Amino acid sequence: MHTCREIEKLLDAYTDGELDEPRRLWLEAHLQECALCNWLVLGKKNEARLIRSGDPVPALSTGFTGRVMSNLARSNSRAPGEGFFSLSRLGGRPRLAPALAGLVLLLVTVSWAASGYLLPTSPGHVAARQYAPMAGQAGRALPQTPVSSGNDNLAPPDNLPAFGVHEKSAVGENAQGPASSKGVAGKETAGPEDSRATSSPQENSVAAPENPNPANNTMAASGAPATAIPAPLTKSYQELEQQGYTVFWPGYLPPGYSLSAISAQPPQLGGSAAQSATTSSGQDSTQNATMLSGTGSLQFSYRDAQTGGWITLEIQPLNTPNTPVPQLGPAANAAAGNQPPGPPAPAKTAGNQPSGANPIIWYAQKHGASFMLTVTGSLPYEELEQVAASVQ
Amino acid sequence: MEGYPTDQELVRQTLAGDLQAFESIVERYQQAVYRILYRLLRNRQEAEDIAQETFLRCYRHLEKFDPERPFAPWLYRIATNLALSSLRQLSRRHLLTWETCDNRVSETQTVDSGQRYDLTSREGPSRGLDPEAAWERKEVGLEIAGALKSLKPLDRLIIILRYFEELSYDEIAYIMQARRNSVEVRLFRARQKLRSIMRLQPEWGNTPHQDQEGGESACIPAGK
Repeated sequence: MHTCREIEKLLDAYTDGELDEPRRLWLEAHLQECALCNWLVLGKKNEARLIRSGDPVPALSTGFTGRVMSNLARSNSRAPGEGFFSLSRLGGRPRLAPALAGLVLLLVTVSWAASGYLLPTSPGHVAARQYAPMAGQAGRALPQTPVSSGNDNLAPPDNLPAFGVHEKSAVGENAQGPASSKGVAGKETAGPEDSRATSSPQENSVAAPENPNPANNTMAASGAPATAIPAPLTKSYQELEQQGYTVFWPGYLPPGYSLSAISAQPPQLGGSAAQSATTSSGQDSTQNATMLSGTGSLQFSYRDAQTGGWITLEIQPLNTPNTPVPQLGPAANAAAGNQPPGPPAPAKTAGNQPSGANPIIWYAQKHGASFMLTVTGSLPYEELEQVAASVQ
Repeated sequence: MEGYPTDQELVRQTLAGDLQAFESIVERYQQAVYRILYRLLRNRQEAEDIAQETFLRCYRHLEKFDPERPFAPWLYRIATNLALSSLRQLSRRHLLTWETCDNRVSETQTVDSGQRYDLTSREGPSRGLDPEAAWERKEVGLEIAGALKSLKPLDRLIIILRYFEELSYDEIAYIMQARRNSVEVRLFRARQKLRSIMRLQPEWGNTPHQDQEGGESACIPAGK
């Protein structure tokens, strides 16, 4: 026999009309005999009446149907499912709009950072800081057609643009350089960091291009306690070569020195014209003339912004392109006592005496042409000789 | 019946392109949808807005309606889903748990009048607060509204669907996307909470059975 407590568990379902037929009949039979269970049923019915009597609902505003139908007419042209990503729908999802905004912000930040503007140690920023002292330093420019100069404004020269990072893997190529045979004792290896120091701020976004210039690599291999030739200058040398100049450059510069000016005399017409045009202003030079004569004269000026020291490297083409040059390099010239063709070289100044008045002059061949190279500077002779020895 | 088409007929006509038929659906169910939404959200404007959205969605997805099933639960299901989503969003904005989100109740008062609705006294319901008398009291409605407000949204919804809309367990299960057994359990618990809040006493412990000598299994014969 079921007790009233067990009966009570069914009363809610009974009052809700959710009891199945057998249990309903059985419960109704019990209710005919049990007054208390009848009271419980009555209580539950009264409870339901009480609940339903409460919680009044304000009337629905008039015109509801019309508003629905007008909204429906506006959206009726849409196919089912269309407009899912409408603006109103996005607005109704409070998390979606901030998420989209955050995603856009993230993309912008990533793209900006990838461009290098947000990286404080990016090569471009370092180059800009390192380049500033050089600006305003007067180069000893020759009264010739300037190729580039940093004398007049703080901006780096336009043709000294590229920034390159030395690749250590290129060090192995250094042995091929003529200056590297001099074997300047390697105290340090000028790594990529060094070459970043005096680079141009231009082309910040260039990501570490491989430096094709063996001169810099020679410097890196020799490990001279000096400032490595910065890659953009190397590029500048290369650009000059592309313009028809035969370029020699020092693989070593004393610490603090950097290129401050380049003066160039454009190549002259070949033949007898070239003979007489070695000291001309180059006004009649053309690209064709460049092709004919092969090269023009150049002068590179290097300055130390702190000490005011200076070094110049003059490259003067000799007008006898096929003239053999006995030996290359100033040291070889000095050791053998050769007198190369062309202008007579002054005697080298010995000791630590500044060599400004006694330039180091030697002859070299390149691309089948002969050149007279002159290195002068405010440095002691020994140091200047290191610079001259590294010229290739 | 020509004068009173069934829901299925109206749906069929609507799918055939008859907007008038859908307007009839709106007129037929707008009050019920609005009542459910208002009691769930406790905000008139929001209830109207979601009611409108309910009918718009109903129209857009009408081809998904199974004509073999009753129409009203399908429509109520759309409405309650929208309302519950709205409550979830509200709880997120206010950093509340969804279950405790009931701050929509602005037009009602809390219920704690101290009144005890003894519906199951020995002398019957008239011995305590007579429900008939309480029915006439103005504050009864507010008290019940407050009690509903105190319930969690799903408990509130199941009470609304059962007591106010008088839907069957199966229909409630369909609307709430739950099994019938789950609906029975949840309805039982929701009633317990509501009774506790409103101090109703249909439970066994306060029934006259407890006062009977000889144990709780004894029944009082009917008519005594």
